[in-house]
Amino acid sequence: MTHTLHRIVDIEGDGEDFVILSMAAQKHNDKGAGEKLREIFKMVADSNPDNLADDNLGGRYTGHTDEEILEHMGDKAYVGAAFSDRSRLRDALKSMEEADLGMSVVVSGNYKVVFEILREIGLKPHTVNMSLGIFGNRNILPREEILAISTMCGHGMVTTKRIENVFEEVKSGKLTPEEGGKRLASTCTCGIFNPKRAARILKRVTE
Amino acid sequence: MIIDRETCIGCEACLEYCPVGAIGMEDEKAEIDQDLCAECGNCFRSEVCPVDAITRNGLLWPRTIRNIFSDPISVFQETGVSGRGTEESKTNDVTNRYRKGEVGFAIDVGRPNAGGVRLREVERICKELSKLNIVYDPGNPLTYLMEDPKTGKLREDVLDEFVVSAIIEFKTSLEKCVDVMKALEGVSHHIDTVLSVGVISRVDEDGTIPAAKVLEDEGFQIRPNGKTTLNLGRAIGVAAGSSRGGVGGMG
Repeated sequence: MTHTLHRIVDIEGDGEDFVILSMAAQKHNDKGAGEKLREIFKMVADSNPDNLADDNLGGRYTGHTDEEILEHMGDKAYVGAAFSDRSRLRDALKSMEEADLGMSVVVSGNYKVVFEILREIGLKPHTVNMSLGIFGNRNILPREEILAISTMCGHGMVTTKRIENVFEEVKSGKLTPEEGGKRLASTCTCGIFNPKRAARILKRVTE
Repeated sequence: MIIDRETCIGCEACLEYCPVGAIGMEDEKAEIDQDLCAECGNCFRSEVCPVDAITRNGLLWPRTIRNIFSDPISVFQETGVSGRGTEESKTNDVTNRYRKGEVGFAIDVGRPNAGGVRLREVERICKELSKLNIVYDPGNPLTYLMEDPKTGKLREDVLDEFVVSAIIEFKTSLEKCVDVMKALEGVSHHIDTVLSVGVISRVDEDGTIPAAKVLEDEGFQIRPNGKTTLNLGRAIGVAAGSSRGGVGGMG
């Protein structure tokens, strides 16, 4: 599962973009993990993320309230959240560090920045999955501003056609960039699509 | 997925939800090309149809493969993990799947936005990789479909299955990771899709990433984006605080 890895994070002017994932390791520490993951979900919610979900059900932008998600969360829960700035990410990580619940926590984003944040709060990186980019027939890919948005859902559920249509609606004034970002987030069940960053891209491209 | 022709009102709202372009219009009704449908369920889950004409059909082998690989909510029963792959490095602080001196690879074929890929195309890449000294992850659904991991050959009956994307997961030694990248670069010129490459490495105490150094020395560019597993997980029975990292701390 590499769905948060290959985001295009270095497009000028689109700001910071981080994802938190937290889960149990199946067959290692999953027994009773639901309760711990619910605690983690609440801590992340308190840090005011830009998206939040359990990917077994869906999230805030797929039509679920935090209460519904919490009720559904079991030992296989996958907490996913998106953040548009490092200060709120730091708050969430600090809370998890202090709670020390023994669940795995992963942060996706510019890994050099993530390492800096970890140093600041006294945590160490254990393992890193690095993106080496796209190989093969790149001629079949959509243009870069579409990819900047679509790669925020690594499962491919935010489609090229939908993004193109939202671009058109924002351009014609039918939607604000913020409304467009939220609309696009509605098919990302993992809670990792960042609607705020999508709005920034929509604004930049359509202005 | 199926759209009931009698119920469909031809509003076309569902068309843009298909990541592989399998939904088209036929006599003013939306219709799903069953050969192209990857069974991801995006059209159904989005609840976009105003008259509920979209339904899930009961899937039989080998079509079930499409759903396992393409639907983010689908769970691969053998591992209990949802999605196309495994937990890979995400729980490495507990599982120690990737030890020091080892390098993991997660090759995401058909991603991003390639419009779907046949497993036959994925097999071409696996066959090239199998010529190297690699160990496929036994928990990955694709490995499960291999007749023989030594050759990378997939079962004949799944080769025409069409998925949004598939992940090839394996590990090798630090010394061999450059050979793997060169092989991927080579095969990438002979495929009609794209692949996104993820390279997994343990991080040394001083923050050095051994695989990054080896690959950069050979001219491979590491993108800024990465997925960092913190040292917060621990196996059951390990005391809080003192032994962070569980078995991962020993590898």
